[in-house]
Amino acid sequence: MSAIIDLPYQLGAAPSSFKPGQPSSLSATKETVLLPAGRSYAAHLRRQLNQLSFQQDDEREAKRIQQELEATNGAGDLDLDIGDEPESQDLLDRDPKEWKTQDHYAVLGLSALRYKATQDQIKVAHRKKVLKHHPDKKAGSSGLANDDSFFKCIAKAYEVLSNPERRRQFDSVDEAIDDEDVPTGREKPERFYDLWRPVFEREARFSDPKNGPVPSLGDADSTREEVDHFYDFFYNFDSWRSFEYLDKEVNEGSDNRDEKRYQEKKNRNERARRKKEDNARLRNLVDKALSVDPRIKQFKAQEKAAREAKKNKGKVGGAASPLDPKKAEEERKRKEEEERLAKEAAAKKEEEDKAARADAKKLKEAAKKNLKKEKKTLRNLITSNNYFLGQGATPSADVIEAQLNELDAIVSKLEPEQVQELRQKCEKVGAESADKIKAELDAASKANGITTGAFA
Amino acid sequence: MSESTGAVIGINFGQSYSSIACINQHGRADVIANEDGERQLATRISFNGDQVYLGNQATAQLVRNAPNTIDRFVNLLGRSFAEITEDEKKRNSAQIIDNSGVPSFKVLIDEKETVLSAHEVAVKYLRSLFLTAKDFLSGVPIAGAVLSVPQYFSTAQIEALKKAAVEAGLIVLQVLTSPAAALVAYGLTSPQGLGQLPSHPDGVEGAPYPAGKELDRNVVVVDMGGSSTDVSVLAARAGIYTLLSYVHNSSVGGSSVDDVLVKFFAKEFTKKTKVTIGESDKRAWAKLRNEAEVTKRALSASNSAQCSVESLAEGVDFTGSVNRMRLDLLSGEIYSKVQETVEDALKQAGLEAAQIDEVIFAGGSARLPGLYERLAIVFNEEAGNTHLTASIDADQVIARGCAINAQTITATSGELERDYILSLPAKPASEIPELKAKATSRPFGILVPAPKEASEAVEKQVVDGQLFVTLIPAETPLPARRTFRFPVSSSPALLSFAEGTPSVRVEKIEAPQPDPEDEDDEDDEPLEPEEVRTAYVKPDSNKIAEVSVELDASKKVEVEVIVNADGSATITAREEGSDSSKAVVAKIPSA
Repeated sequence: MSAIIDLPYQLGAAPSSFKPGQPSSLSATKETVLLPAGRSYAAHLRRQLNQLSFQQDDEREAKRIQQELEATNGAGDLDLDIGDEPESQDLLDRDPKEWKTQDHYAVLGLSALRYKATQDQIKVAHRKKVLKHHPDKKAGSSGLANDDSFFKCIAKAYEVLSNPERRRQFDSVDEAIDDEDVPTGREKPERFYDLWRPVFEREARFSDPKNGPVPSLGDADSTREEVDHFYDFFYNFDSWRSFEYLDKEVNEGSDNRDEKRYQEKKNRNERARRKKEDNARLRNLVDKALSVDPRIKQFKAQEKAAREAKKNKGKVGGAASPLDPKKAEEERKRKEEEERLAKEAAAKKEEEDKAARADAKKLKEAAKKNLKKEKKTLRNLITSNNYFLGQGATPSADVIEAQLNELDAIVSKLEPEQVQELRQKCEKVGAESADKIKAELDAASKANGITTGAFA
Repeated sequence: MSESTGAVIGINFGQSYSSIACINQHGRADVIANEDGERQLATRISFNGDQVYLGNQATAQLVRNAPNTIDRFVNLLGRSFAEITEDEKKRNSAQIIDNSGVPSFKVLIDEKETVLSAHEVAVKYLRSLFLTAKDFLSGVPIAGAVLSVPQYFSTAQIEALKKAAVEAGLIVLQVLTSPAAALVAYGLTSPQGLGQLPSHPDGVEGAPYPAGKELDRNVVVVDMGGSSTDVSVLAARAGIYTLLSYVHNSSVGGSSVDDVLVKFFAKEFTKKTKVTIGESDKRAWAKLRNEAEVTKRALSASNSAQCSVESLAEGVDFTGSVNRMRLDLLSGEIYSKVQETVEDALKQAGLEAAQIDEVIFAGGSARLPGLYERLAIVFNEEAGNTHLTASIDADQVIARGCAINAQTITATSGELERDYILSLPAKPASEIPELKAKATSRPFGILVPAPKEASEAVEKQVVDGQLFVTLIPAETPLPARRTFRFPVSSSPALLSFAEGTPSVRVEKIEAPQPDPEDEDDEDDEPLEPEEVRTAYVKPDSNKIAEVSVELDASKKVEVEVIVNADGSATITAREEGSDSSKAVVAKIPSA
């Protein structure tokens, strides 16, 4: 129905002989141009486009309004127990000045919902708390006229939570939500989904709405695309989390600009640092999940099998006669057996190799240790033979240096074992004559391409 | 405004000043302030070295850096250089140059001579408006914007503006003409909800409209901007608006008021200091003009205002003050020009001032109190038939209207309507065939016996002992529906419906003779006889339909009139509260 306009003009009486005549028509209509603006134009369009008469449109609108009303009332029913959480004495005794450390959700009785609470729920909870804790109500009972500290806490909590920007800041650093509560990765793979789902749901709260819906962890039946998309999303996660809430207060009292700027700069750096840390934390978390995800392992195995199958296809005999299931079965078994054997052999060989390598390594290490000793012995051999100059002659500094340098060069070129060999040879021939030692050393230096020729 | 869909904004992109409005948390439209706290942003860009100044910061640059300051560029969009008049080319800021037909400006940016087309300048400026809105909304994405254009803009101009806005990053929902935006800002005659009356533009305490004018009013929008004055006459019929006439007068605007103030102050300056400001001293004139503009604005709020300029000419300071009366005297001619424009528009619409029910003020200069007073006399506000509405600041009306319309478009429940509005081309309304509709050509009403105890205004509308009460006025877009309730004297009551001709009764009232005993009055000329004009509808002698309704005489009778798009109509009359089976129905065939 349209709005009824009350007019103050009284209608006259119809004469007793009144008979309604045939109505004549109105003047012809004229063309006009509507301005496409305003609510009523939208309503006009609604009637025109849906081809509704005024009455039909009224009914439809009334129905729609009714439905909307029911929807909001329905939500209201669900909210009946909002904010009815028990209040601990600690909470009630809070100092409103310490609002930075206050748990705003707990103050409004929403600690079970936290970031999931809707604006409407916050509104409802606030109203309830205000009614319950209004200082006017308390003045009589407690005897303290100014006992409004908790009321102030409520006001502060609502102030923070009702403003979307500030609520985000608080949610970003909500201490009641433990970000470190992450599975260790050593749990059984079957429990992967139960353990990790809540972790990712918790992280998803920081997702910017413009990035679309957050993919879910899925389950064992998720397709490869789903799983890939999930990890892609979290590796490229666009988080709105910010850390302004933890800023150190700039001392408003002081007029010192530099001090203020210094503090602001510190806060900025701190924020950036925390943000970086948070991003790293999330990345580690996703890394960890990826490494223990049973699906990823499965996909890898499948991939490998597919590769193998492709490789074997080209070979003669490999996956050859698919028409004979029995033969194929035999073949498969044989192959498996072969594979098993090959694997075992490979394992054995590897073990042997490993042992050998370990031995060699040990020897090498021992030789290295000995190297110094060997070198010393060799040097002693040289000095004791008076630098191969014959008895009584005094070696010049040049000769000594040249010979010792060449010895160093030889030792550095040779493997430790070879040095040992050389030492043994030298000792053996040394018993006969000094020149033989010299010849040995010369041969060794020549064999290693040392051309200084101090032993020539 | 919900976070998921994003916010909507309205932009009034004016030739002199621009403003941005958004929907605030209470669901009302609000003009937002930029980082300097200003709500009216001068449409001006200035380049100084590598710095770019926008808005009011650029105004200061007019003094020292005029050749690199670009203003009044909005009207150049979508026009070729040849179309621009000499008057428009005359400016103290950067000159318009002809860049192969495209109006452009040559400015120094970072010591390099750069040619910017009007389009590029507009994109730059709109982008800054967009960023201002973004900053203000702190993170809430902007889902769409409605821009206003003057009524006279051609298709090319509207398209060019839309293109510039899209390039600046805005999602343009609609380009709306400014008179329509002004009406939307007030939600004029638009029912608040199902079966509810419209809200009063002045709030609950506003003076009530004459009986029967709640849904249907003839409205004049006086849009006095910085450089021009636009007057439009519109029919507002239950929230649906149609344009009856439009007059654009580019010879008068806020800058004309600045001109007279500048002249006045310059004379004062010479009188006080014996220093004349040289004709070529452009800096001095620019300084004085900027200050005069500030003084003018102050005068809209207070009764007198100061104007002081340091080192105006030859190093001499100037301080002067001006009061409202002086300003009104100085701008009397300007007000007369506005009045002429209004009368012109009325004439084109075929209406007289007495037939206008409401006057709406838009544009910054419409805030001048002197203008309001002048129009109050023109429309005889005292008689109570015409309502002057200025409850929303005139400089905010258009931006707010745009924001509200953006909200209406995005929040409308039906996708059908939304897509329809979004698909309307960016053209003047008269060139869009989809907006054509049928409307009534003559008022349709009911004849009642002359009320015994009626106000003077009603008595003057009585013809031959009968009063024509308009139910559906002329220019009402069809289909239309109205419901009225009348008291009755006895049962059965007679309802006789007829069409009529809108007329104006002119009465001359002899001025009271000056008191012969009062000797001071000797110089008084005999007063002109005063004319009193009253709008009324002269009913046709042929009735359209007559019905009688039987009812309890203590009850009222409810009359519903529906006029369909083809001109046929249905009248349903019944006792209030009774069901429809007892109603008396008269079907009127189409012509």
